[in-house]
Amino acid sequence: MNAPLLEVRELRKTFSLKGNRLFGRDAGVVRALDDVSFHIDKGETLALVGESGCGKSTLARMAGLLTKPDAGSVLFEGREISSMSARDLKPLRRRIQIVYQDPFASLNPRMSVGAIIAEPLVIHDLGDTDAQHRRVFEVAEMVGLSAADMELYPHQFSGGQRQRIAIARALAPEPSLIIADEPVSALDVSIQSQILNLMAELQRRYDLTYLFISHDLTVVRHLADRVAVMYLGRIVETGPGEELFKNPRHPYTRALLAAAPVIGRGKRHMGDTLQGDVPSVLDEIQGCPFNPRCWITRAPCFTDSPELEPVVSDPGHLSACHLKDEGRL
Amino acid sequence: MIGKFPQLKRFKRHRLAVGSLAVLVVLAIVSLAAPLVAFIFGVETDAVDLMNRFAGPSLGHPLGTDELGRDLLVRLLYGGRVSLLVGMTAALAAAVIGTGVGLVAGYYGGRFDALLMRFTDGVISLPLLPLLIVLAAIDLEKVGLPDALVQSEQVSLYRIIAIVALFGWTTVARLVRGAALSVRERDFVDAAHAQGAGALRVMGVHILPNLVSPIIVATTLSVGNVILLESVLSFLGLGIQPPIPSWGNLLTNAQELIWSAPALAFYPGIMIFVTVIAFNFLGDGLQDALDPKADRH
Amino acid sequence: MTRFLLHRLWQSILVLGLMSFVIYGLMGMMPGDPIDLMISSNPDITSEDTARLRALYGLDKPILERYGNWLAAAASGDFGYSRVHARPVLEVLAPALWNTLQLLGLAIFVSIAISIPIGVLAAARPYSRLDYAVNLLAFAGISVPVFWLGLLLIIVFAVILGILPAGGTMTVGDGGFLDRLSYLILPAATLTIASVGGHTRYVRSAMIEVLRQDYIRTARAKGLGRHRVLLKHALRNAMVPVVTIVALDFGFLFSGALVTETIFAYPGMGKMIFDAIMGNDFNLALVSLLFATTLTVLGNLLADLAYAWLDPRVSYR
Repeated sequence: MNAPLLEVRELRKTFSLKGNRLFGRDAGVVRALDDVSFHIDKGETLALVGESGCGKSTLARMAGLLTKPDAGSVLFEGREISSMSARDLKPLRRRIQIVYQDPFASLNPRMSVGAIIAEPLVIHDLGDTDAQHRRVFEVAEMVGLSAADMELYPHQFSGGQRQRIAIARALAPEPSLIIADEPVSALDVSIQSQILNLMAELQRRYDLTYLFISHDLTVVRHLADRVAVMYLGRIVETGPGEELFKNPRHPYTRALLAAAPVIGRGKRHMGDTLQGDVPSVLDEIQGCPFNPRCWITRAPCFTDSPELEPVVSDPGHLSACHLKDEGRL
Repeated sequence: MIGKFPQLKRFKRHRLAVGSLAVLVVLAIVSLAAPLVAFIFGVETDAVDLMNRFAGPSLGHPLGTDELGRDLLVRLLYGGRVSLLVGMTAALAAAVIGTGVGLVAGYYGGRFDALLMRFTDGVISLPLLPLLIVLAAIDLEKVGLPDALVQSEQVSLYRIIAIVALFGWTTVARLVRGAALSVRERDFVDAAHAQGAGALRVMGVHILPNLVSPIIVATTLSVGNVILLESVLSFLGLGIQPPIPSWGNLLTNAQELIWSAPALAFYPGIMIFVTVIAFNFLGDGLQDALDPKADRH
Repeated sequence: MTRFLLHRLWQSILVLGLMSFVIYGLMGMMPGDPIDLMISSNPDITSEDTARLRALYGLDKPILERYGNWLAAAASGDFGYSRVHARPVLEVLAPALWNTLQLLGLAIFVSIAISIPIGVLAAARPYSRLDYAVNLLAFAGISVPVFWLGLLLIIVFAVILGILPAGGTMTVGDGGFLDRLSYLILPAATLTIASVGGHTRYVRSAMIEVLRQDYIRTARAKGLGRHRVLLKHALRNAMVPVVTIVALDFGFLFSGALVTETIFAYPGMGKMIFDAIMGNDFNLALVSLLFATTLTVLGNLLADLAYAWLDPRVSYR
């Protein structure tokens, strides 16, 4: 079987807070990533879901070659890249592109749209100026922008259009993997589906691979082949998209699903499900990190931290919960 | 221009700044046209007329004459030409140095930034005028510059631009560094890094163009200071040397003649004052217009 | 806190050390060294004589060595002789310093005496006419060429009105307190006018900051009279910025004093530095320049410390 396009193994990353030194000690460490492993096969979309602070942005930056892990490895096409030198990494940067969340911040306001889209081509020296121009127009068309738009500046476009520009920029160097970090979270709901459809279309036509990061399950539902749910720096559940939605095997996933509004049915009442807020990432929790908010806890939940293991009924579906095999949660 | 509109509107609200801009434009035009003005009044710039010394204002000499019978207005305008040109050139040179320092410090951050800022603070903490005087008094031949340069007529101009720029870059450096630090945090800089862009590209293509506003403000605000420094040095005889007139050295003679012709001391000084305050108002207005979130102290 | 202090102290020493070398080198580039002057006044000097004299004065050694020698001598208190005054440098420096301190003292005192009440008033009524006027005056203050201001004052008070002297320290044969004071008035006024605007703005913004603090609102809520609140609480806390002003302005005032003293022929440090440089009085120029630098650097250090002490939120970088 072919090696997955992207694979991460046992990634760990901690940040120490430059705390209030007046009191003589560091204010603590943030365990942004705590033993994270997953893989993405070529042509598929893996959705990474979780609330803010769960570590998905750190993961995105790691996969995007912007930060290095403290421990663990990142493999791209089977090759270990987490310890590569900057020079060796550069050609890989072309193959891995990022689409950012905020379309107003991810585009340089002083550059014309055409220049923005062409930048990856310029940096990686792909083709002469004419070839680059052609590619820019080609890619602009792919995302629904016109050639005339290339002369304009980002502030002259709407949020949705700017995200199209960002996508075009990501497509220009013919990447293998696109990391989409909350690409539609900053857009109006009506625009969101447009962009999602565009992304799905592009994936189909050009056999793209997506690592799609979001806090919103509904957004992810139609695009994702597989889903991984993150909580406090760990993956707590992962499995095929539809399967996970229909039959979640971790209480956190269930809670996320319950909170997601469904058109026509309104927001389901969370009531007796999720309790409290996301605890501070600084606190050490004994046992399963979810136990402060969990409503189905048993004894082992407070002593042993559960591993991410396959559910009995389906080996492709993994969950980190002591109760994962027990009927409906 | 579409994006510039809100800034323009904000700028127009500052009547003082707008007025200052108008004053400066007029001043620049008139000074640059000094030869023309001389022609209109039928005056030759350096025409010495010992029969007509210290004359009061008249049709032929709107501001009177100086101790050698030269027309005061024309001398004033020629002096303005020099003072303005020197002032703006020196401010520009200082801006280039300051932008370089600030940009690099803001981009790299960390220890390097700390080092550069220590250096900048060190320069700021020096007593300005005494050091400028020392620099201005240096015998250029001992420095090792080519003879042709040292003995040229314009050497005093180059020298003063150089030494004023040598100390004037610190304000711009600080401002640019602060702005660079915040631009660096924006997503598109991250995107460029993710793309594998080198430091030079990121600094030049991404950060620098977004620093234009603070650079303009800082430079405008520094022109006033530069003009003051030049005029002090010229006044002391260390800046722009006669026969090249500047407002500063027009005042040098005026001091000796203070008992016989006090009016001579008035005009060049008021020109300096008006110009400097105009640049300060303009800079202040620009700061408000281009960056309304700036600290208003 | 001590860490910050030590850091800044270390930095200041570094700056001073570096500057001493730089100034030493720069002075060497002044037109004409002592031997050249001797040559120009005595055309009979032979080249052997000049070589001998150079060796005698140690002028033929490399600059680092000369600097080292000078530093060693200075460390033991020997700052050399002033060529022009034919006396030890320190003897010449001391009275000049005292004169400048008198001048600066008067100028700063008056400036603060004016800027504090006005600054406080302006802060109490932000954006009022007074505030606007204060702002304008501040701009004018930093825009006016100090030397021209001095000239104007001389013209008005000495030439036209004839009530104040145009220069010097005292009338021959007098020297009493009032007499000396009359000579100080114009130069001090020049410096004051130039700096009062900036000082007022500074006091104003410091006061506004303080007034915004929550505890002031609490005090007001407690029912204390508005004026009392202003005077007692706010003023006490705004005092520290005043210290900051004074410390920071040391450098500026030194430069301003230089030109002012020159115009008014006032024999202070500023004029001395200028005369020494122009007159090729190497030792005197060097030492007095270094002194001025030291005072300025010290002033900045004090200002930083005062600021840090006042506001512990300031990062220690």
